[in-house]
Amino acid sequence: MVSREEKLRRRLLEKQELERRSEAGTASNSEAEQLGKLEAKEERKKVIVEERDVRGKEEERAFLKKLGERAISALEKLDQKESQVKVPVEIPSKEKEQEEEHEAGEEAEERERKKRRSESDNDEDAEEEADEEERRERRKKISPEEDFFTALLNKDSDKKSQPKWLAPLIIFLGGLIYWLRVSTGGEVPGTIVPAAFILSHFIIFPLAGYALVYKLGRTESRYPILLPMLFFIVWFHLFGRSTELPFIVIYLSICALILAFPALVSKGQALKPELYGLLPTLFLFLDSGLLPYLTGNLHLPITPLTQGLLLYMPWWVVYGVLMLPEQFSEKHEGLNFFFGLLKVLTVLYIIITLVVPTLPNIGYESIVPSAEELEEAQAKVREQYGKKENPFISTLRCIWNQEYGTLQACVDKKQQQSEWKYVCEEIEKHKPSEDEDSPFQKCLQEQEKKAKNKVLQVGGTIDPTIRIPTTAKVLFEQRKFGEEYDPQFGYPFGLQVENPRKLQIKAEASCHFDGKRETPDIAGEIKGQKALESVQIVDFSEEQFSTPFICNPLEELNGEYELVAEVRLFNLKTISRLQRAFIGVKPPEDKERLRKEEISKSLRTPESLAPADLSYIQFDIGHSPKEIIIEDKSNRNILLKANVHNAGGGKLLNIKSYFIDAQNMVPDNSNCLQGSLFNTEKYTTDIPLPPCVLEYPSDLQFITDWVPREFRAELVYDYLISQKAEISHKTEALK
Amino acid sequence: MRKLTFVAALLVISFLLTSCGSSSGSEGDIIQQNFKQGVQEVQIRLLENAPPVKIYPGSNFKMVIDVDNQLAYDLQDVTLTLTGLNERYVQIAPNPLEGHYLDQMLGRSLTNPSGERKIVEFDGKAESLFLNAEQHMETFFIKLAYRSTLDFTDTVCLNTNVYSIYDAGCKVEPQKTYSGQGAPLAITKIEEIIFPGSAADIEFRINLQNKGRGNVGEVQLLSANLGNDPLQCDFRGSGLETNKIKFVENKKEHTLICRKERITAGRSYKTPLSLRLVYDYKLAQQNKLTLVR
Repeated sequence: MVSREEKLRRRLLEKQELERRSEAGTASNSEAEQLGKLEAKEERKKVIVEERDVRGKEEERAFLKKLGERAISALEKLDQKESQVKVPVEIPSKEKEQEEEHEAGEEAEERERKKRRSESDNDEDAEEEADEEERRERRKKISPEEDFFTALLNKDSDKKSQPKWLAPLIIFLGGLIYWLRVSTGGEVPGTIVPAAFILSHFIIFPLAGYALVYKLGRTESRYPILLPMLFFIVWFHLFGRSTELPFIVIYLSICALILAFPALVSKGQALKPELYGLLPTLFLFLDSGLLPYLTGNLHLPITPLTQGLLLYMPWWVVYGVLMLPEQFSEKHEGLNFFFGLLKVLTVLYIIITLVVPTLPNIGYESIVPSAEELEEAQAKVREQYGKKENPFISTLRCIWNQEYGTLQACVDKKQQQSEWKYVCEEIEKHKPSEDEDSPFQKCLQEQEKKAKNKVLQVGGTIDPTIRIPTTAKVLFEQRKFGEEYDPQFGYPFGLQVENPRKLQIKAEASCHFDGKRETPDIAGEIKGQKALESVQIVDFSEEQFSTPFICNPLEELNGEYELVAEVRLFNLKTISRLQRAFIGVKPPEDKERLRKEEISKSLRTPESLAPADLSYIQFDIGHSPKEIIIEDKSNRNILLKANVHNAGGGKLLNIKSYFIDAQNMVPDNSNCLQGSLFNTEKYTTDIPLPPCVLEYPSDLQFITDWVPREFRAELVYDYLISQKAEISHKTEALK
Repeated sequence: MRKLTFVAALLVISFLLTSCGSSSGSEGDIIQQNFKQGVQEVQIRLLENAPPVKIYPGSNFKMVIDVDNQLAYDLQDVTLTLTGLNERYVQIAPNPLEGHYLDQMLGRSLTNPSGERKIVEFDGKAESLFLNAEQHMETFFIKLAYRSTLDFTDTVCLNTNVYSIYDAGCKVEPQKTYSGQGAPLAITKIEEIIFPGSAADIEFRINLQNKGRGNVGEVQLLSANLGNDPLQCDFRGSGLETNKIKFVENKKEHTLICRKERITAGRSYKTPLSLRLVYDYKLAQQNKLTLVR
């Protein structure tokens, strides 16, 4: 094999020989031709080399310019860091800068030569090597600290150093745990070996830590990320997840001390990675059953759908997907596509899991009302609780009267007085008067007496297990009927009833037109086949019932009116419940121990519970308000207090009957357990029922432990709901 | 290479950790095993699907409870009851407050290394839900009450001649701690105090602690001996009967003070200290029942 130099030497000798012969005139035609070709070839080569030189120099210039720009931006970043960290930075001297530039230039030349060699020899590895060197140079000059999310999104992260098998392995093992939990409850099939537990805590958890280390490009400084994980594992396994306060305080202090050390040494740079180290810990906690704990121990109310999504969420699969590099393989696009698709599906799954619980009637049982229901409730409250004075005005009045010392009490009193005035003036239609004997002042006194009545201070709460209460609404299709609307058409409105317990209800619809300003009122009638004396009566028992009505004025309308559509509902029934624990005779320490360890976990609600119906009984039984434990003590009375709460925003017409099941507790006054009250329209909020003292039940006197009992109170009542619409109409004569 | 080594080491450690404590031991190990150590409790477990995870109103179900005595002592007057179930929602037979009387349960020993196990059944019937409620959850407690004993034996060094320089006998340990005697009630610490003199007195301050999940009722000292001689013992804070003490809610430990007076002076020597106590214990385990529409 002849070397290149040898070839060149022979070609040169040949050319020299031909030149000599040509000059001597002894060269043949073919030799002359050959000489010509050689010279032409040399010319071409010269041109090529020159062109390459020029191109090379231009490229070199462009490359150096780029390098210079990057160096400037790197220096700027360094300056920013210096201003925070206050480390004196050595400002390179001009000679140093020139030297560095020269070095950079030489290195650039070397890279170019390599690139050229790779171009001519088609060598991919040399190019990659050059790229690799470039990346290393870039990394040296750019700040070593990388943003967490930038690294997570794979910008500027070092793909090559992250082992490609790590994230897929976590995904695979996460999937295995998921399968084990779903199929065998986490154990190896046929055994009781807790494989899911071992996999999660001892295999995936450390792998997850390392995956995070590589993802953040922190292979040299991995311990700040791994330390929090180690502390968690020690607490979880060696200290048995102890939550005793002294231990927690000491353990957390020690951990904080150890974690503070790298943070101090690195001048705060290690703090972020230490926080990142909590990410695998969070996933381990979630995988170990944080959510089942919250649902089981803290009784978060979720439906089976959400429960399934959350309890069987493949947390480690999600984590593995997060740790995947953006481009898994440079050669196999199929693999990249697969992992990309997996990322998309995982994100979708997470979004659905998080969004579904917030959708009404899908995720959560209806403790959280929809926006529409909120608006309605607000309107009801405004209507129901009357027009109180603006608290700001009340405050000013109190200050004007120099009642600073008891300002809040004064404001509360003014608020209450304004409410009484509204009731007496607007509802009971008494003319305001300062005369003590006037009906207005007597009404005010009566309101004050009622407010002082302790019976009214019994409260209750909505039963969260009853998702669909009995409700009714009167609806107008349009709330305003203008001049263009012909009264002869009649004014339609509808009744909509939710009757989940299929009560047999009778509804009586009626309407009237209340004139505004000087306009006189006009009676209305409901038209229909079953209409009788201006009203229409319907009977129903369906779970969901709705029917339309048409209201016609009995006289010609002329002016502006408020159309009031009313529906009276008869024989509505609601039941409330109240739970108490009977302990018989026990020493105080036993009583408190039972309360703390058992009773409070079993009976969680001290108030009475009722569905969110239009009206219901609120009641309390015990030695004191909201006291769950009832004991057999002769020096402590057991008091029953109750009231009927109007929650519907309408009017409670009659209490046909009320009955409280006292479960073998004999009252001193039987009226407190049952009775009826009529014409209760005047009450705007709660209607008091007579209280009484109950005897301790004889069958629970000598119990050795404690017994839960549930009391129920039934209310049968008539209710009025209404809705208003604005009407404006002038007769033809006046138009 | 380093990474591979690390992962391999991690796997090995994982297997070692999980394998620790899981072996059932060979016959030779059982013979050597001392059951009267550490803290042990009675294990109460509901069998799977008894009761079912979800119960429908109007349906019948069974509640099957597995009671496993892991103590190193026999249990007497064992009673299992259920508390907290509201009869409006769940009817249980027999009467859950009276429960089942299990009489006696053997503890772990050489002849019965796994302890006695008993299965207890209750019949249940789910009543209706309240109005149109979607579901109702009942939190209830399985309670086990029993009476058991606690034996403690250890060798102590007695040295009444504290001024002696040349004593080739034993060394007095002023304080010794213990992990338990195979029961939820445990003697955790003993302090030895010698009042020197020609007729020396010795006092043992014995710390008794409830290390279990349940509640100790009354503890009575049956016997306390130092060698063959009985000790005079009193519980600190006891009433008229000084050999009895009640563990109240806040207090999880008590001190028993035992004295021996007028010990003959002489060289130091080792002798056994033994105690036997009897106590009442109550254990409650929380469970849930869910009725669904």
